[in-house]
Amino acid sequence: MTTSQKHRDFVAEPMGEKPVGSLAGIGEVLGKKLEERGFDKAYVVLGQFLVLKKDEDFFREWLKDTCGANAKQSRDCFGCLREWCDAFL
Amino acid sequence: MDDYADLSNTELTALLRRYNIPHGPVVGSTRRLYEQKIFEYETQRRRLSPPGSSAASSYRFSDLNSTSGDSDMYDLPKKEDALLYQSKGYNDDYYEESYFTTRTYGEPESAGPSRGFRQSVTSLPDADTFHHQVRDDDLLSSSEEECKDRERPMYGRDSAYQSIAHYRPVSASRSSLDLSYYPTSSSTSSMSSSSSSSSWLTRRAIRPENHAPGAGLGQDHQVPLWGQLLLFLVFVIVLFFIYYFMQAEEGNPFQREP
Repeated sequence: MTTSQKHRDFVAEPMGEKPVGSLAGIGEVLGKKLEERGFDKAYVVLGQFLVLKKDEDFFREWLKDTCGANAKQSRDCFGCLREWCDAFL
Repeated sequence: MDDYADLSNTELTALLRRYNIPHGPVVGSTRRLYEQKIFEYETQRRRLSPPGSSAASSYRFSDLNSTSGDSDMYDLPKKEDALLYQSKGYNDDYYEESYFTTRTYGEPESAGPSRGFRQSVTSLPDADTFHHQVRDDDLLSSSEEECKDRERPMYGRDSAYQSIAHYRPVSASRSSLDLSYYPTSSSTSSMSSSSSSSSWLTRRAIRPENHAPGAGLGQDHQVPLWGQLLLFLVFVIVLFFIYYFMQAEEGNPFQREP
């Protein structure tokens, strides 16, 4: 499965204080919705990902419920975070 | 689902552990997800226990049709799926997206042998590789272990591939080809080629009679058997010519002795 440039950029380095819109699959609209819910930084979403024990089904379901992500967006976001964790966690 | 709102986080965690649902900590953001999961699990359990799992497909169709109001767009494709995978249909009531499945519960055992059969069927189009017969033998032996009642299509397929061994002794000097898996079949076939070919033909005749749905299912998506044999023949002939010309290069007939 080929990854987007956004995915590759995110996974290439520690996320630091990157905004939530820098996650793969999270564009402007979804980013705004997540920020309204309090997930304004990528590491907060990472926190949720880790609390769900990196489970794909739960995380994607949570993303769908929180910001209305569709299947592709949630899959991209999950893949992005999982790879980041494999590299840096 | 409102019943679970009264439970504390620790009680919810205990429920998740009792149902063997893989879970993380139950905190504010995850609580709703786990409540939903428990609700879905209990509903599935309630639905599975009265009718029994074996004859549940027809019952579950009516059940799905009666209870699923919002997910009717998924009823039609899911009906075919429910025939093959009995426990995957129950998700449609709660989740419109088809990607959210309860993978945590694993596949039912009834889908196992059918999957194994399908694996062996899908391995048939790999007629162009060296090791396809080796792989088919492995798959044939493994699937024979899994489902004894499917011996006849395996048997027919095995004999169909044995007939290919006819052609191997014809093309000589191919030592690098891995013939070690077919010493017995090639010897028997060379001795009694006519009888085995006729037996192959008779077996081929019997096969569609007994397993027409199986063969039909197999031939819906793959190249037909005669096509595969033809492709394999072509491949064998190409290899023969390659080796023939390689031997000629080694000999170098143009070299003159000084």
